[in-house]
Amino acid sequence: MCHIYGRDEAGKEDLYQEIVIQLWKAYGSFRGESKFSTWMYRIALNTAISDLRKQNRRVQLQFPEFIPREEADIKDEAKDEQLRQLYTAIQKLSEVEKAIVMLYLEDKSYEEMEEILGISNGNLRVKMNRIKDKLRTMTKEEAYGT
Amino acid sequence: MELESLKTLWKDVGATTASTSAQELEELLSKKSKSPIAKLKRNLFWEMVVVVVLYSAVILYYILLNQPGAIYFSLLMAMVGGLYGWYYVVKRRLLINMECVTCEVKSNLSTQLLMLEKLVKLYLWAGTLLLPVVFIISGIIAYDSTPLPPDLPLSKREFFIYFLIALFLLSAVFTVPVFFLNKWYINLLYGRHVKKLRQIVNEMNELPFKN
Repeated sequence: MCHIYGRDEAGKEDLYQEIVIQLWKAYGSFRGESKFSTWMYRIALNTAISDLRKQNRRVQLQFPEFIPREEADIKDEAKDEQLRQLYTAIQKLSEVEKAIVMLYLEDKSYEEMEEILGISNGNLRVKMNRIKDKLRTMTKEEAYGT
Repeated sequence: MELESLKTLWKDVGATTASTSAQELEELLSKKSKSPIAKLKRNLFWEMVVVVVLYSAVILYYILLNQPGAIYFSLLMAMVGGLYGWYYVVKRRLLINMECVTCEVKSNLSTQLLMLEKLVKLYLWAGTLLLPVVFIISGIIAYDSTPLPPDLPLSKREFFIYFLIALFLLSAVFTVPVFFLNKWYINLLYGRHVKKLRQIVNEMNELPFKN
């Protein structure tokens, strides 16, 4: 999440710190009504999306600064290229779309996404299809240099 | 690029991320929150401390002077302090209600937007109304503590009514530009934030089959 919403290394660290603080502060209020991961994603996404002042600057970020160090270490060049394309394309999405695609990549079910985001299951599926089309178009455009 | 095929790749990224040690976590938790709401809460607290210390000192000083005009002035300060107290309570309540990190993202952001809009209104009206309130009270205090000239062509009562009308008109004249100046400044501070938040909330509320 910090890789998607953080603008640079410092931004990612700030966001990570903020998420940890919020998780710690809210830990006492966890009553087990939802899955722990649902509760955790809610806090992390609320923290990341709410911090709009920083996001205004994040939008302008491009590869290569955006690629996290861990990924840069991946040897496989094809994979590296795919990841680069993925991050570059995700950066162009809106805050809500970023959240949906991140949860999708994290293999969350639509039911869990609904619990985290508060967007209805049907709406999420439509949005996800739109996002997939958007990402496909964006990566094609990038590949052909348009 | 198919998202489905990237899921595995995404998991690999997560797997290669180094975990945070207990010591690092402890260090992180000892730092202050940098969220905008936490900053607003901290600023409000220090603002309140400054107001309480300054106003108490000034009020006490004028009470100890033991002069009629000075007592009025300390009363004026106490009234403005009281207004600040009301502002503090309302703003603090708004800030507390603004954040619900454990809520669904959509409901949290909708609440945040609602509270932020209320906060902006509070800033606008508190900042604008402070001027006429202080202006009128100061005028009345000044009137009361200044002896009237003996050759006044009007009765004291008539003069006071004209004085009050002039005071209200002048305060209205000053308040109008202050209102617009305040509006411009608040928009500069929060306008973009509110706009962005509204855009996100609208996007989340968007119906799936509207096109």
